[in-house]
Amino acid sequence: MEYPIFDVPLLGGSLLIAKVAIFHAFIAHFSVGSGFFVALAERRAIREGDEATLAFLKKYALLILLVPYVLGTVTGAGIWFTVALVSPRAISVLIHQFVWDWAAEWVLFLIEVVSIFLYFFTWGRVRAEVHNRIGWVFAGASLLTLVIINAILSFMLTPGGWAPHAPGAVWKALLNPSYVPTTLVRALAAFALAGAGAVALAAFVRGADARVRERVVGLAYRMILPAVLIFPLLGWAFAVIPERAQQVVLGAGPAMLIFGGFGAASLAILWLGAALAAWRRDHAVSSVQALVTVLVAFVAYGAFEFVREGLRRPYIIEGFMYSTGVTAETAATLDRRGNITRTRAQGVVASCPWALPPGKAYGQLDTLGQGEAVYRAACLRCHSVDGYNAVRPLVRSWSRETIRHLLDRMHEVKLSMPPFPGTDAEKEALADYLVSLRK
Amino acid sequence: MSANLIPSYDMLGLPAPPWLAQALMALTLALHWTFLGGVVGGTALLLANARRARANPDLAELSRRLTPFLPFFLSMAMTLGIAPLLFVQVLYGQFFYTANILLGWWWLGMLGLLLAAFALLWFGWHRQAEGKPLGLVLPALALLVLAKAAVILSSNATLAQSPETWQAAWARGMNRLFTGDPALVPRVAFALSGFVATGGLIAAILAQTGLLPAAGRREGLGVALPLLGVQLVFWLWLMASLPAAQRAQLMATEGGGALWWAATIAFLAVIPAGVLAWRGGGLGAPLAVAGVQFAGLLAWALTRDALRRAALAPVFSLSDVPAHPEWSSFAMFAVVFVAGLGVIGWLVKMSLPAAKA
Repeated sequence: MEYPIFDVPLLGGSLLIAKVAIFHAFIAHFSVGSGFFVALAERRAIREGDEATLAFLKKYALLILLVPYVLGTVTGAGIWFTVALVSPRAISVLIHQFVWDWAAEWVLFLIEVVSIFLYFFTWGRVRAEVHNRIGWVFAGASLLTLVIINAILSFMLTPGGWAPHAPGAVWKALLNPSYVPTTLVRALAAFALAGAGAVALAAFVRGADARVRERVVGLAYRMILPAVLIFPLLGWAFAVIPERAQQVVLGAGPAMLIFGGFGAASLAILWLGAALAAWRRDHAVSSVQALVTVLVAFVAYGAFEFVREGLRRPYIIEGFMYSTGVTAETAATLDRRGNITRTRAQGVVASCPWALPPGKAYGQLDTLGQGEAVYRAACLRCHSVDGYNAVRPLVRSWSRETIRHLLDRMHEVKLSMPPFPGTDAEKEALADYLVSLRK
Repeated sequence: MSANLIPSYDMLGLPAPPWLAQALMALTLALHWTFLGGVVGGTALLLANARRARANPDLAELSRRLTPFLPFFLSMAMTLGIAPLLFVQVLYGQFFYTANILLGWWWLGMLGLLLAAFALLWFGWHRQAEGKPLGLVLPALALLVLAKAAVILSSNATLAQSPETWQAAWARGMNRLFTGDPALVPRVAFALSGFVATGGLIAAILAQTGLLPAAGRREGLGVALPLLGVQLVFWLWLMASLPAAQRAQLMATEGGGALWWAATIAFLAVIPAGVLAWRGGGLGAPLAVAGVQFAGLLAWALTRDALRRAALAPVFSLSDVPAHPEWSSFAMFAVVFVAGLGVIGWLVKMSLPAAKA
C-alpha cells in the first residue's frame, strides 16, 4: 500500500522474508550460544590448567565465534532491508514504535564488535582470566540483543494491551504476553544450537586429541539438555497467543501443524540423543552422529521459526496491520490518508498508485489490466503467479463463480487470509484476471 | 511529478523531537564515515605499499600489522551505519523506503558487497599472518567493492530526496541504479577522497600510539595530506554541482548556510593543520588534524540533512509531522548507551597493552 511493489519472481516477497529471517535467526542464535559455549569452556580449562583444550578453543574460536557473528550481522541487516522492500509500512510502524529499543540494541552490537575482535587479538597476550572476561562480555551482550529483539518479534503476534500513543505504550508492547516464554525459548534454543555445532566441531576437526574432543562434547551435551524446557515454555506461549493462532496450531492450518510436528519431533530426538549420551557418559561422537545432531537441531529450529512466521498471518502486527500492508480497523484513526476507508470506498488501487503500469490511470486499463493492478496491490506480497504460494495452480480448477465467492469470504474460509480490502468492482476485475491465469 | 506517488508519513508520527533524531543521525553518520575511512584509507595504504613493501621491510611490517585492523574497522563501520539508517527511517521513512524499493536488488545487493569486502580483508589478514605477500589484487578488489557500495548508497540517498524523478525512474524500470542526480559523481568522489584521507590520519595516530610501526605515521600522513586537498576540491565541486534552486534552498533552510560554511572552513583548515602535523612530532598533532577532519565530517552530515530538507521542502516538512516522544524509552536507551561506553572503555583498557605488544 502506498509504496512501490518489490516483485520477487517465483519466491514472492513473503517467502524471501521467511528465508532470510530463518537463516539470520539460525546464525544469530548459534552465535549467541557459541559465545557462552566458548566462554564456559575457556573458564573451565583455565581453572583446570587444561592447555590442550585452550589450544583447541583458540584454534577453532574463529570458526564458531567470528564467522557466525559476521554472517549474523550482515544477514541481520539483510532481514531489515528485505522487510523494508517487501513491507515498508510494517517496518515503518515497528521502527517508529521501538526506535529507542533498537538504538539500545545498537549499543549492544557495538559492544559485541569490540569484544569479539579484542577476544581474538588478545588471545595469549593478556592474563587468561582477563581474556575470559572479554569472552563473557561478548556472550552477555549477544544474549541481551536477543532479549531486546524478541520483545519486538513477540509483540507482532501478541501486542497485548498496547495502543499507539497511550501512556506507557512502548513498555506494554515490550512486555507483551508472549515475551517471557518466547525469550526463554530463544535463549535455550541458542544454547542447544551451539551445543549441536560443538558436537559437529569435535567430530570433524582434525588434530585434536580424544580427551579434548570428549570434554568439548560433554559440555556440548550439557548445553543441549536444558532445551527440554522448551516444551512447557511453548505451552505457556500457546496459552497467550490469539485464539485465531491457537486454532491454526490445532489443525486449522495443516502446514503449520505439520511443521510444528516436525519441530517437536526433531527437538525430542535432539534432547533424547544428548540425554542418553550424557547418561552413559559416552562422549565419543562419530561423524554420522554429529551430522544427525546438527540436522535435527536445524530442522527443529527452522520448523518453529516457520510456524512462528506463519501464525501471524493474516497480520503483520496482530489486529493492527495485515500482511498486505493494509491497515486494520484498530489503526484506522491513525491512518493519515484514511487508507482503510478509502480502499473500501474508492478501491485498493486508489491507495496504491504504484500497482498500476507507470503513467497509467486505473480507468485507462481494460478489465484484465485492472484485475492485474488489484492483484499487485492486494495479493502480490504473499502470492506469486507461478512460484511459491502461487495463484495459478490454485485457481486452475476453480470456476469464476467459485473465485468470486471466495473473494467475498476468503478470510472466513482460510484463517491466514485477510479480508479483501477493495470494492466490489475490484473484486470483479480481480476475478476476471484470476480466471485468465487458468489458460 | 505525481504527488500521489509520495507515501504518507508514518501513522505513529515521530517518536522523538526532530532535532534529537537529526543530531543523533549526524553524529552516528560521522562516526560511521570515520571507521569507513579506516577501512578505505587502510586498504588504499596496503595497495600503495604492495610493490614497495617487497624491498622495504618497514613497509612490509606496516602492512602486516595494518591488515588485522581492517576487518575490525569494517565491522565497526557496518555496525555504526545501523544508527543513521535507523534515524533516517524515523525522519524520512516514506522517501527512504520508496528509494530502496526502486533500487530493489541493488539495495539488497549492497549487503553482499559488504560481505565480499569483509571476506577479502579477512583473507588478506590471514595471508599476511602466514607470512605470504598481499599482492595488488586483494586490496584493489576490496577497494572496488567498497566503492560500488558507496555508489549504491549515494544513489539511494539522492533518489530519496528527488521524488520528482520517481515517475521517470519507475517508467525506466525497477531494480536500476539512479544516476540522474547531477551531484551523484562529485558526492561519491568527495566521500571516497575523504575516506582515504581519514584512513591515512588514523594510520598515523595508530603508529604514534605504538599500535602500528613508526613507518605508519609517515605513510599515513603521506597519503592523507594530498587527499585532504583532493577532498576540498571535490567538496567545492559537489556544492557547485547542486542545482541552483537547491543550493539557494539550502542557504535559505534554517542553519543550512552556517553548516555549509562550517564544513567548508573545516575542510579548508584541515590542510594546513595536516602540513603542521607532518612537520611536528608527537601524538597531539595527528590527533588535532583528525579532530578537525571529524568536525568537517560532522558538519557535512548536518549539511547533508539540511540539503535533504531543502530538496524535499516543496512536498514535505518535518514540522508537519506530530511528535509523540516516549521519554521513558529514551531514558532506557541513554542508560544503555552510557553503560555501553563504560564497557567498551573497560574492554579497550584491558586490551591496550596486548595490542601494543
